Amino acid sequence: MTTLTVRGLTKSFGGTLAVTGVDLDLSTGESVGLVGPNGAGKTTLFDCIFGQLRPDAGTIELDGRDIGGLSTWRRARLGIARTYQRLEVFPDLTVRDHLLVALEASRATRRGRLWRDLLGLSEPSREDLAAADSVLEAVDLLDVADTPVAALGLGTCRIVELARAVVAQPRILLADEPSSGLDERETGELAHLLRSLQVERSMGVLLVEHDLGMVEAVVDRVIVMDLGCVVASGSFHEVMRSPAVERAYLGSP
Amino acid sequence: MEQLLGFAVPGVPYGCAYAVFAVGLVLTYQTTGVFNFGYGAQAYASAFVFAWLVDDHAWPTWAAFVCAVVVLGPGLGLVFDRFLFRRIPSTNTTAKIVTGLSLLVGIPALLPVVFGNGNLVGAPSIVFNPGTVYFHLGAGVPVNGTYLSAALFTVAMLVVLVLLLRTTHLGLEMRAAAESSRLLELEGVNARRVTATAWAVSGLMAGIAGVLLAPTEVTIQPQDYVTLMVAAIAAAACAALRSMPVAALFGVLIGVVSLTAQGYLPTSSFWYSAVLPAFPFIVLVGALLFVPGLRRLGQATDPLSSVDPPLPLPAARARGREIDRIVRTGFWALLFAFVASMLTWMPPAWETVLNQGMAYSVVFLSVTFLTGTAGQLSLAQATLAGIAAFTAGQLASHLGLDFLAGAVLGALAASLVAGLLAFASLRLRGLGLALMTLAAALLFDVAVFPAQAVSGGTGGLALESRWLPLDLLSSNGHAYFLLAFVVLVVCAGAVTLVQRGTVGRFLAAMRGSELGAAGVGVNLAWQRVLAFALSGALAGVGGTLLAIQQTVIAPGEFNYQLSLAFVVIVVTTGVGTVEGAIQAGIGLVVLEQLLQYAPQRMQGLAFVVFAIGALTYAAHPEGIVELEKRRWTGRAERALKRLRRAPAPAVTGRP
Repeated sequence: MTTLTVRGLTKSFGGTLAVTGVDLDLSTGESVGLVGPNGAGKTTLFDCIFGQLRPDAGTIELDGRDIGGLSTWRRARLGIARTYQRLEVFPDLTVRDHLLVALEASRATRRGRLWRDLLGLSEPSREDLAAADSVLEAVDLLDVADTPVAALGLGTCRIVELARAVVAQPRILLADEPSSGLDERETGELAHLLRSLQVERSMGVLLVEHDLGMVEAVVDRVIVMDLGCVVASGSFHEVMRSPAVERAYLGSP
Repeated sequence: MEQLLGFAVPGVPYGCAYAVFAVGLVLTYQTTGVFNFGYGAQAYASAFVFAWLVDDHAWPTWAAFVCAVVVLGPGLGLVFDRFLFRRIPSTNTTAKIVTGLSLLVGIPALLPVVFGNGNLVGAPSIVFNPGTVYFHLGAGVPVNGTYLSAALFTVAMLVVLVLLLRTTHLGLEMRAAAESSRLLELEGVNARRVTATAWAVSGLMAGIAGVLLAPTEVTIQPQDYVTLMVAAIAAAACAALRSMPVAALFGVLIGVVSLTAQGYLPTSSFWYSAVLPAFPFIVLVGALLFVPGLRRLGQATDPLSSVDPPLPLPAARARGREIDRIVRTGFWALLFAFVASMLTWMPPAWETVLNQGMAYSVVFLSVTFLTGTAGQLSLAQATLAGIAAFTAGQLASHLGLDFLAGAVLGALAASLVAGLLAFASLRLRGLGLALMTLAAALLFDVAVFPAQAVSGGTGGLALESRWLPLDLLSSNGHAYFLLAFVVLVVCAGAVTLVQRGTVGRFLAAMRGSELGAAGVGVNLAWQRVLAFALSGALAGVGGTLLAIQQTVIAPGEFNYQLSLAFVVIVVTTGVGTVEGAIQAGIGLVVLEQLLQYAPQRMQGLAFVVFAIGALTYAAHPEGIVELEKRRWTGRAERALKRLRRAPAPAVTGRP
């Protein structure tokens, strides 16, 4: 079992403390929701875990190995994947190519790639094509596999981003507001898809989401953040009844 | 002290010139979000028209000032806004840079076409008399009208602009519009009016700066204004494109320190001949490496940027199977006809022209690969071509190495320099990276290429026939054509193979989203270094081919102005495809050859044509040729459908 362990993580921007002493544990096979009002520090925490921001203090470990000093791409190759609040797809590439890029990049070696390209030997391997198509089938995108992503709608692009994140069999998935910009039906479908992928692939999922219906459908437990701190944690229903959560969302009476 | 003042005071007008331009650059960036490479060209246009009206048409100074500055300055700004920059999505940094570059290349080339090639000698001063000494500093350092005008104007302009930007509601709206005009409109503000006002103010400042600086130069030359621009860019970079007072301070410092050092350094020293002219560029490199604010330049800040429509697909990917088969057959037929023509009936003069076009095509492939495939912008491709050519030339000259073998080593040297440049710029993105490559190009222009040991002086290095096999230098026979053709085919094939392979997919991913690519495990630093190194090698191969074709390696053939023009030219035809580079290479030389038959003043028209073409980059980033290909493909698809009464073929994903 893989565990992501965060201890005492702190990050500030100028004089503003965005994340203050956050502790977090996430194991493979479990799904955790990270909720809180805007500005609570959820995305900053994601950025620190994924190496896009360097924390001021605290440690981040994957299976006991300190990954705090590694760059984003190294963390990705160690088995952490991410989707983004603002879509980060590759517009000119086809849907299948998105998955192939993720599969090819996930391998630690880069030896000979350029020479293989120059010799015309870099057709994707059968294994990679099969792995990509199996994920595309699971997320129902086989019909548009050869379509460039620029020609697809937002809802489909969100699923492409999710498929790209899971295709290389990550151990930990950080999903940042995947329902952003989607309607109720699309959100429901995405929630179902995310949950089934998490269970099938036994991933650890950390989900940042404002749509509480989606959170309830996907996660095993919830962590609530406000003003950079963890203010509550527990099962979805326990947390929703917590006075700290009411204060965070509605303010003090 | 007296001596120090004596050296430093003459630096004041230059420093003020840099300051005025630097403040203008910061103002434009802060109020429109555009780093306007065309700013120097705007200033030059006003100065040119001002001097033309006064000198050639005897207009009164005030009337010429009103026409060239008060009307033309803001007018140009408004035209730029209305027809160019307003159409560029706020997050498309490359389009903004390319549009600015096309203005920088196109305007100075256009003015002689419109107004003639007359040599404009010195414009009158609009404030103080340049020759009059108004007072003395200390015990005898004279301060004349030129120094006084420059200093007073710089201070006055700075005060007015800082007050406008920081204390007025309009200034606040301008800064907001630079971040996101759409968000500003949601607040009920007419963002178009605000942005247009910002461009008009910026244009007015450029006009005033241009006219004010005209008397400091003997003749009004576009290159003077471009050189000024570069020093001003360094000053603006030191201020992280944020603070106008800091930019002005660094502008003055660069001017004063340069002139002071010039006074103290022995004229025969290396420091005087190589380091001093490069001083502004060294400052620019230092700022890019050590000013933290520059690392985020050009990164998307508009929260509503996701509403911008996606870019269209290249024609080759949008066409159906039947049209694809017809196009491929046509391509091979055209290729065969071209080779047969060159080997049989083509007149030698045109064979030479087309040979040159093929050599340019190889250099342009380096732009295609770096910008079209990897999404990176380099303004030093001509420099890299020059590095390879001079390396091969010196190896042949000193070691007696065959020039073709030297060309391989030269291409490796260019590849190494490009890779090192990318490695040194790893923290920079978009505009910051473009400026770093520009600084490198300028450093080579003033400090490396003119050196006796590199180019043998300004005349350049003449190739000798004993350096090359098969009589390649001779214009008789087809040896050069065959060499250039084989090299072009190999290079085009290599680029195509890499584009289709794993590295190509990684580069396409990096081009689409750096965040997304790093997030799936792509090592962006390595990919950037690799892209630059490969692009440097291509530029190097093209540079040595050009050298053989021209039989002399001259520093002027590889300067930074050509690097800027290269980007503009390739972007016009299509930076995303290999055929775009070849069309650019052949198109450039054919156009230049046809212009030989036009009047003398029209000689620069080729650059104007390409600059106008590049102005469409914002609307059609795939290039004009690619756009037309897509349109014709659509027409052909519809015609086929009508003929066969069958549904149109589905879109395919094949490259």
